[in-house]
Amino acid sequence: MKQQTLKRSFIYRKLDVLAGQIGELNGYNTLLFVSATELEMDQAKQLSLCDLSFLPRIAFKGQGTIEWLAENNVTVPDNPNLAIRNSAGCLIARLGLTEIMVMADINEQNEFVTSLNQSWYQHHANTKEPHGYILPRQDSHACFALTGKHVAEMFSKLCAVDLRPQKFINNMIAQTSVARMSCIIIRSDINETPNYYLLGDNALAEYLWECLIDAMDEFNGQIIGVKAIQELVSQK
Amino acid sequence: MSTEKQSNMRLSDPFGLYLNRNKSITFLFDGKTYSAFKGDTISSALAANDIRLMSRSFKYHRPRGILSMAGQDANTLVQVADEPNVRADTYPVSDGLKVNAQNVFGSLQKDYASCIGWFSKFLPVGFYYKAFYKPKGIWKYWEAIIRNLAGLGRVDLESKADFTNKAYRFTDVAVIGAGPAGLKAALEAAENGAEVLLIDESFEIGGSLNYARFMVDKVRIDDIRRHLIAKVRIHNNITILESTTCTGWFADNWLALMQSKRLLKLRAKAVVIASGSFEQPAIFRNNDLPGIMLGSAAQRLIKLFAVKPGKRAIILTGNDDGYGVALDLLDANVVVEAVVDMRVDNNNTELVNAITNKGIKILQGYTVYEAISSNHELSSVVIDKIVSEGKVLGKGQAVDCDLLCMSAGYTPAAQLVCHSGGKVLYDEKSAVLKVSSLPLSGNAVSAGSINAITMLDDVIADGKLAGWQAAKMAGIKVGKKPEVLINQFKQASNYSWPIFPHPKGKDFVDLDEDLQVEDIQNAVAEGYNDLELVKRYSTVVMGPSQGRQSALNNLRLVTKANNESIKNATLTTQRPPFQPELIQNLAGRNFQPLRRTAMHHRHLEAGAEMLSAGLWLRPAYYGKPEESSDCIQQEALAIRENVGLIDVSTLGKIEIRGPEAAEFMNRIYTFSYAKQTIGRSRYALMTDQAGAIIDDGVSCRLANDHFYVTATTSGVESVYRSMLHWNAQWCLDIDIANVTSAYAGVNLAGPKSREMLEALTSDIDLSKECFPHLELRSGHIAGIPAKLIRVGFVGELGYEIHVPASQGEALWDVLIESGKEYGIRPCGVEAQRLLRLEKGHIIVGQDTDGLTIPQEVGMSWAIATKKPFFVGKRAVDVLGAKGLTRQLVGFTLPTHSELPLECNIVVEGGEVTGRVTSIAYSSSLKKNIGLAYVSPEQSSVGDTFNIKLTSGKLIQATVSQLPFYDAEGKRQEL
Repeated sequence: MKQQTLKRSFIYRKLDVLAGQIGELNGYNTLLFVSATELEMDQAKQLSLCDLSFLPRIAFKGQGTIEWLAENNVTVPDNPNLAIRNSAGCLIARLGLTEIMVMADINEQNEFVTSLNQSWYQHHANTKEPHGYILPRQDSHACFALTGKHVAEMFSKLCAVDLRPQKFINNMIAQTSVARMSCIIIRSDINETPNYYLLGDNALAEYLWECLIDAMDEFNGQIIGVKAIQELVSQK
Repeated sequence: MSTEKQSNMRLSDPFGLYLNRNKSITFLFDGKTYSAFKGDTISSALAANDIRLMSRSFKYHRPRGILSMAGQDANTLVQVADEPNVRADTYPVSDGLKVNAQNVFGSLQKDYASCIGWFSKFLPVGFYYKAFYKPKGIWKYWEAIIRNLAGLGRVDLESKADFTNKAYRFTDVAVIGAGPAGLKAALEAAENGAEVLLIDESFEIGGSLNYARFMVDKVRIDDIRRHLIAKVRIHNNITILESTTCTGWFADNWLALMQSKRLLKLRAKAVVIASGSFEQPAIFRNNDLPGIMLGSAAQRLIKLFAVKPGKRAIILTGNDDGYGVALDLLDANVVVEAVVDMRVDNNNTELVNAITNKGIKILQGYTVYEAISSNHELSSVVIDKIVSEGKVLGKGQAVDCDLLCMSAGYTPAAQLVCHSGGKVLYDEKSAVLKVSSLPLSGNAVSAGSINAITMLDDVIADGKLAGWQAAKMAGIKVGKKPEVLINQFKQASNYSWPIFPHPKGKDFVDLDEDLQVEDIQNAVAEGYNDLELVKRYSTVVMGPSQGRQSALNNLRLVTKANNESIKNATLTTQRPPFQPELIQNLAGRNFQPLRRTAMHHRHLEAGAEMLSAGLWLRPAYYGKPEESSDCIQQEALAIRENVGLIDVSTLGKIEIRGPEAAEFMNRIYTFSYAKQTIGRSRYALMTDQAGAIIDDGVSCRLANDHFYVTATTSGVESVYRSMLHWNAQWCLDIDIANVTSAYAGVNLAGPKSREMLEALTSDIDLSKECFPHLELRSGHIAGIPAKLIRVGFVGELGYEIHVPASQGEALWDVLIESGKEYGIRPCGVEAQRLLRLEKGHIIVGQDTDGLTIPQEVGMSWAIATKKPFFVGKRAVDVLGAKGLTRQLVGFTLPTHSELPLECNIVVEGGEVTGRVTSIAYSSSLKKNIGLAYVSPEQSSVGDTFNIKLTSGKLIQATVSQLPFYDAEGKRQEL
């Protein structure tokens, strides 16, 4: 299928072949659903994989980052490798002492991240004070969501970090190796449904996707569309 | 094919803990069909069918049958379909399973190779080291014969490779072994709040509680078993892994857990090792006959599989457990002729009375001195009085029997303990090997019979204490320490010398390797007197059982032969794995990351042949492999004459930002960057501290405090690491970010590239005046935000275009579509290599090696000599001042000359003076061109030198001016 959008997920071909409904989100053609949303929501509670590469995200790093974000009303977690959700529904993930990634809410998508991006450039143009540096996480990393009660068991086939829910509690972050590639794993449950964001190098996205599909097979994991995740989030 | 019914060896309920009698199955053994129940193993099913002969031994092809009934020996190794050396004791039978005896010449009953045993006097230990090496060169003939005779099973070389998944597991406390000690340890740790993983290799937890007779009162044993197992099974903190063998214990409590189709890699905060102990045999003549087994093997057959191990039994014991075996045999309606106790007396009056009350004779101070066979099975034993260590009176009496159960003692199952630094030492008083220290990495505790604690109540108490200790080690807030009192003197000890050599031999120490007492003594006598040397010379303890039944007796024999004290003696080194492992489980899933650019699938759709560049896949050329040469030339010509498009997304991309970015660039690269103009690019060459070239790229200054630098495809990771490494020392106020994957890149090159691009952008003035060579601009191409750099790697007017990776494919589509009217072609790496060769540009790693300094490749121009410092500066200066020993030059060959290969050597007067680094035919120049290292004396334009082809032929090359193409660089500066 010839894509018309300018922005493309690195694994869009894997989604095209599923014969699901494709729709444009944030300039990306994205899989909205494969089967009925209710069924996919049920699947999400068991084990599901969803491509969220379209999800707006941006990162800031370096001296002055935390202070500048505070000036822009972004409260960050107290310690590295923790995440919080702000009032706009954005996930604020602290990846290092001075490195913060901001991921948009799946239903709001754009505004907060876009405005933050613009603010930074405006600030950068007008000041010499340290305020960190932007990192292009939207394009450097693919973003997937893995949901359901079997996620941790599935991950145990790919990752040496203990990601079981009782140990890797909600809002924790692991920056580690998954299937021999560097990844960021953020646990951010949706109500009672375990939800792990997995971000990995875009160039390895197709490889990572294939590894996940293979690892999920044992637990009857399925690919689902964004709509089911959006619905689950809306039920909060 | 005939069908045989199960014989009357099968016992009725309540025997047969593992059996499901509602599910009958049939299987084949050596072509005959036998019936079994679900839950049977191959050995138990054969025993139930009164089949006792199951294999032939390794060396003498002696008949062998069940020994341990626990898969701890080589006696019952069989072939199952494609899989050799299957342990029949533990391998479950299934409907239609095809099992065959292995290592048999003729049939299992009539194995012609058993005649080797007649010549055993002439085949002493180490015989093949001595006998088959003369005359010189003869070994290779003997080797084939010996290997054929001594083989174990048949490997199917045609079998398809399968792969399995590995998985990581984590727990607070890992308990290895689910016998009474392990069960209690798991419970105690769990009740203190620890998360517990209970691991056992058996089908069901319970360990020795499932089969052993700890006391006369069997009802109490059963109660204890039920109670413990029930509590463990329902405890929320305990996860049970049955049919799982811990095969290795490594540093920091990394445990390898092997399941039939998976390797679990467990990290435990603390470990309880409750792996139990191995029962030991006695040594006497013909102690290997089918029908002679360990007492615990008979108990397993009876209680786990409801199989009568024989009809008429003798018990040979050196401890109280033999009495328990006798009681169990009686329960199973086996006639017990006598209990032969090697000890002079037995103080356990309860057991003695229980036996004598049944009318069974107890012979104290006696032993079995010889076993006699009929039709390959035990038919009688000779019982004789022990007069001194290893010696008998010589007035033995033969007693008919078809079953001899041996209970000579125990040795701890301490292999895992030894894997990671623990030790076992021989305790002379109790004649027992004891765990003297646990793994060095700590957080481990042992429990149960591995600690030589054998009384059931004490075993359970020991487990309780171990569970509490392990929970505490795991960082759990534990309750009060259990008060446990274990009387060490009450525990069973081993009979110290259950070895009765016979003048006629066949008194086997190690059944795996058919090693007799004399073999061990001879090894020592020949000078191989250290335990490790005896092991290697004789191969004792090196067989499939890994010394489980032979190590202790071997230790006794070796120390005695050396006339040494056995006190505090230890065993040979124990190494993983504890049990054989399937290579497919070790290999697991094959994770091989592959990096694909945003345009990867467009290359495939265009028919590209892909090549690997590090982890990346790149298009080598577009077309069929058989037409590769034409494809490469056509692609190169497209760039020279029209326009071509190369995917350069794989180039490394690093952002250096901050007030001291220029200073950092100045230190890390050889050129000068302090005064680099904003909006302009500059070549970037990197050397290491030894002055050797390690990478190159292009530095783009986007702002005073912002550089965007490219690096080579395969070098960027090390460049990035190197930058971080250096700035950790320099502490410059900068940020370094590797953004390689964030941007896709293409090189649009060729005389028509500007014209073509002009139609796609409205915010970049592409005219020569406004956007000259080496400048860079930011803007949009067909609506896609882009950075454009005018670089000249291929020597034509060209633009390197970098865009967000998510829009790389869209950019490619737009350029290909728009370029159609200009004759655009996608071009691969090979064409790019040819074009840069025409321009005389080097590729780091191909035209350089680990020692190449800039001067050797004509890159003195890329060194800012006035800079006070850059990494490698001193070495570059010193090496340059010393004078060069080689020089990279361009060369040409006659048009019809045979082409050398890259790395063919340059020779001069028999000396190697250099090598070819690049070579190609250039359609543009219509000649063969290349780069080569030559001696400085051969490096002037017009000099000739000889290249030695792979065939040995010499061809003459002529040094040429570089670049070969467009020497004035006018085309790239259009």
